[in-house]
Amino acid sequence: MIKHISRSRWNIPILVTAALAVALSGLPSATLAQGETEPDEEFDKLGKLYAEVEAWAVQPIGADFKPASLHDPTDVFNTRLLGIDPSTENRFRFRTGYRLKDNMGELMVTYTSMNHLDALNRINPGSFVYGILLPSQRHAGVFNDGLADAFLSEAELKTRDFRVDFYRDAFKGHRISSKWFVGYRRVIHERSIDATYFALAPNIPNLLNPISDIASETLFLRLKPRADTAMQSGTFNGRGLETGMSFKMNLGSSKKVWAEADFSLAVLRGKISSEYFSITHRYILRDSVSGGNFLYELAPPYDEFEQYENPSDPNSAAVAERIRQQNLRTGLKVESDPGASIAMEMALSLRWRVWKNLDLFGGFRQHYYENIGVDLRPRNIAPAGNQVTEGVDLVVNNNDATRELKSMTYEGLFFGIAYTY
Amino acid sequence: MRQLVCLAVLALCLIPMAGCDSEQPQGSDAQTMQVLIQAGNASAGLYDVWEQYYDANLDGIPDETDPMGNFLPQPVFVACRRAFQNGQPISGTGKTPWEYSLEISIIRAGTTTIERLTTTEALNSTFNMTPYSDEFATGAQPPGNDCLPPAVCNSIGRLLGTNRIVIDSTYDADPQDNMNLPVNFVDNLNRWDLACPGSPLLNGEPRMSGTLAAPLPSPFTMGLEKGDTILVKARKKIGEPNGVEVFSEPTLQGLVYLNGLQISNLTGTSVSPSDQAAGISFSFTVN
Repeated sequence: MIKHISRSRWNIPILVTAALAVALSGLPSATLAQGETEPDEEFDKLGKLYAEVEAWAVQPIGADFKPASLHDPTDVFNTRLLGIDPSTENRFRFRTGYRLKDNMGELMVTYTSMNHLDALNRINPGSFVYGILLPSQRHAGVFNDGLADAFLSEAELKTRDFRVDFYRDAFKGHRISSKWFVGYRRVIHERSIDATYFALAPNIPNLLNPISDIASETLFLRLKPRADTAMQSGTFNGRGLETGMSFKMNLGSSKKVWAEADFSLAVLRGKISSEYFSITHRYILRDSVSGGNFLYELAPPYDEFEQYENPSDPNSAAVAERIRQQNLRTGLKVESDPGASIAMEMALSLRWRVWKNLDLFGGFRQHYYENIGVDLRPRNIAPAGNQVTEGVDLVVNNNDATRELKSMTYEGLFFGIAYTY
Repeated sequence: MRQLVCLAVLALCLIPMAGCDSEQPQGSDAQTMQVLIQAGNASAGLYDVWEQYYDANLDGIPDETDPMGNFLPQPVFVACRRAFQNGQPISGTGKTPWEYSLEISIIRAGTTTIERLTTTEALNSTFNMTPYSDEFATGAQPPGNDCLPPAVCNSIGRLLGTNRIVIDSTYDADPQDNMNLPVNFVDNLNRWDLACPGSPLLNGEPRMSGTLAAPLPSPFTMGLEKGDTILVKARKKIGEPNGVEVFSEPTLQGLVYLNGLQISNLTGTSVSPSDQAAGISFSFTVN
């Protein structure tokens, strides 16, 4: 979940930006006099408000969500990773600003959000070819071999990008003009993946009568292979200063069509929170039907399921009555780790003044966020707790976990409308 | 002229497009599946079997009594004689009736929910009984001296002791002597009893040879869609059914037919070992 940002947290960057604007407003214009230094007519007035709305068909690249592998039973070297390919989503980008009088500069606020929710499901009952990658490998899969015959996975990427920039003219030529800008940038990025792995049709002994006198429904529910599941999430919340340049070139003599290019670079400092949990299962044998002590862990192919307490007497009780299925829970959470990122943004576009101060524009934009995501994964786990109860917790050594940083790129075509008044 | 050619080409392109009708119903993917559980590879005795009746007055109508005047509950009956080879009784292997528990579930295409289709898995001899043997062995011998006039005998063949005709037979060749004797008892005349294995002697239901009073167990039948997966579990009951005489336990085997064709690529264990109360568990996905 994105945390709501209180108004007070924005006070400092807004004040800084405002102070910067006021300071710069006292400086002479940085416009390079090249003989074409006449200010635009629109800047003769006291100031202008500017707003634009943009639709961006954005696709994330580099999410690297790999919930499972596809195992080839006939050729182990042919095992392939199955990844979740993030889809292209149509998102909006909002931009508004105020152009100061006398061409002293512009204050611009930009908000961009990206949200991608994608799934990867494979269901092939009875065919245990899907490698279980996300949960702990300890007892993953009904046969403890890390394979499932079906899995459902879902991955989500969320990015909120907020910018406050102050623009000034860098130079202005007959056809080409440029502005530089500095500002404040805040980026919140979340990534999460969860997956459930099934053993829908395992080849294990069934528990039908006459195995047990216990109602078969009870045994069915008790020993039916439970699905392994895992979740991994990470959040980056960072802020920092940015700078950049924008270029504008007239196309033709009408001065109604421009080509534009923008580039920005931000260095962000922030905090990273990450979380991981996993639940796998195992079968154990107890020394009595009710309660009792842990005897040993069953191993595939689970012959004990169809054995009798007295092998020579099929009318004796079934061993299955002493079998239990345990949950093996593993979890790890890291909060507020320091993190740093670099955000780069580039855009190429065409802008057309269709009517008075109304512009239409479209182009290609690319955002790059370095080390903005994190995948937390415990490495070594050790069982602990009461091994007789239905659930067994595995404690995790917090110092022995991997934190894999991820970089993200967003790119796509955009189209928008802008108005100055 | 060029415009005319272009228009003609365009018209030709439109013709096949007009033929397409997106509203046409698509072909149904529904298929009929049948699951049959059978117990096979059971070892049992082989018998020479014939149909027999008495006709002292040669009127072609089976008599109500035997030549000694004993009343016959059934004028026409099935008689069995243990098959011998080199002076030793011989046995064969084949299917046998056996009670079993059954659970059939389905996973619908694209889901991970297991839906149980069978309402009960209880051992039930009416519904969960594997089919009888229906095979004939070679080398059948005629009744010979076991069918002396005025008896009339029509040979049926050499059958495994688990054949339905044998099981359902009610005849005892010498009911006065053998009313309380076990099947295949050798009496003091050193003559094999002609009662068939499993016969409840004179208390059973009579039937004509080659006819079956009760149908064979029906396969479990249902419609499946493409992508559906069927899960089948079954387990043998401990001990043979009443009237079935086997020398070794059978294996339990699951068979799946799709639109009448047997499916060979079942996933899992579709044939059990011959152990007591052995079970099977397999699945099949409609592709």
